[in-house]
Amino acid sequence: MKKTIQVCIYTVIICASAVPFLAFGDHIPPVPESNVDYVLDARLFLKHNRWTPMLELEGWWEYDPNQFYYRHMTVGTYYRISKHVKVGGFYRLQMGARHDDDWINLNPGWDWVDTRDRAEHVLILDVTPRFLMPFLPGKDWLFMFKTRYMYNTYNGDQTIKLRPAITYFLMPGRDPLINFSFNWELYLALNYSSSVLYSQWPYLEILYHVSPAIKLSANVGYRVINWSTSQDVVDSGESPFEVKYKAFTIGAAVNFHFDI
Amino acid sequence: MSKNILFVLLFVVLVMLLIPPPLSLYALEGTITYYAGEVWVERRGRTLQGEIGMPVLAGDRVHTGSDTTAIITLENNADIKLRADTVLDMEILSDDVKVRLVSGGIFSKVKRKLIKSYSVEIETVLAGVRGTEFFVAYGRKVEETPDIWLCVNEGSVEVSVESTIESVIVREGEGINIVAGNRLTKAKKYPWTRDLNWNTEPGEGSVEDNTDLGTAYSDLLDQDYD
Repeated sequence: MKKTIQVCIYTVIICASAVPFLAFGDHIPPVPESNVDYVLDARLFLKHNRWTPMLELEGWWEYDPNQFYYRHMTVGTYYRISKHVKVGGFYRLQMGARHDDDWINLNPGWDWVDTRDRAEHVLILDVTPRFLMPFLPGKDWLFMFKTRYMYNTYNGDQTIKLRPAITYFLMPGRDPLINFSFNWELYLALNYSSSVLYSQWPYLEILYHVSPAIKLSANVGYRVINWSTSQDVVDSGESPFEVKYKAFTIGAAVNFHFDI
Repeated sequence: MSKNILFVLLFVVLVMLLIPPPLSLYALEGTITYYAGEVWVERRGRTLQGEIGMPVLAGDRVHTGSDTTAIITLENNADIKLRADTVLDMEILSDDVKVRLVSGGIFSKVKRKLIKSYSVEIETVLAGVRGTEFFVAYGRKVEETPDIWLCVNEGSVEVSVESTIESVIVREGEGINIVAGNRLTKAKKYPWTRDLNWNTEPGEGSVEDNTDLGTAYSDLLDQDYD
């Protein structure tokens, strides 16, 4: 009997000492089983000969619970260097970006830094080749491979964004009326993350040409982001981790296009 | 004696009836008033080299070579400016003018009060002018038959497609693409028409028009959405 009581006491002591770790000490970020993120965009394009300056505003309602988190303003220009290729240079001011090292030790407990007031400056270079595919049924098909290099001056993160896309243009009167496109966005982490493929986002998009100046689009997709071990986790001596944040995405955009 | 005179008179009348009169007695003439490049006219099976001052008659087929601009003036009632590589049939040249554009493009400047009607036939499309100045040309051949572009600088033009009851009025500043020559689209303003050279008076400056109709088409390789 005495031995049984001793075993019970020891068991309670062991369990009690584990409670802090179960309740507050889990150093791996929780991810919802499924989530829906929302994104809105507004863009302005000004076209002059080979130049196409662009201004873009984007905002995301993301994570669990949904909050208005990541948003950015991007400004710059595309330049058509040849019939099939455009290059671009952009500056991006972003807020609400979540990086791996934003997972911090609150001691006790872990949480993400609220970065919604943190401004980050990103420099972007873009190369986008495009090719028509008249051999496909309907003829008005386009393949595009958007390639971007992004340098975040806040933390030195370097990212390559690759986005192959195939688009069909519905053109009943020789001008596009509706675009149907399938895009697959891949973010490659060049100097951070334990995964080279930091994020990927395949999505379908429909774009309606309201007029030569106004385009409206809607998109649906599925986004996967790999969160991996933060510096605080390393400093705390905890085990490394890699978790995937997964979410369906629903988005809408309005584009304005003007010749200057 | 009187019987002899009567016989001679009858003979003279008969001869006059048998000899075809000059066409100019029944129809208006056109005249080549300007050209730069090469112009030639097919007339009753013969090919005639174009010259300034040469008459252009109903039934003639006028050709322009590459890098050529030519202007035909219809007895001060209308100026027709032909672009390079144009073939134009002068079907009717009277108070009702009808020409047929076989290939290329033309500018038409019509003095409305002096002409009863003026129409340009292109494939199955008929453009009847209600105003004074418009441009019509063949576009790309995307389907079996080529597109036809028309735009109006002054006045208005009624465009209809043969065998349909559809017609569209194209007003000043507007243009229209008749897709594959048989489908009317909405008339609207097209930016590329701002590059057209409407001048038909050589004394007032260049009359050459080299507007690339390729710019009338959307360049799918030049579309940015993000």
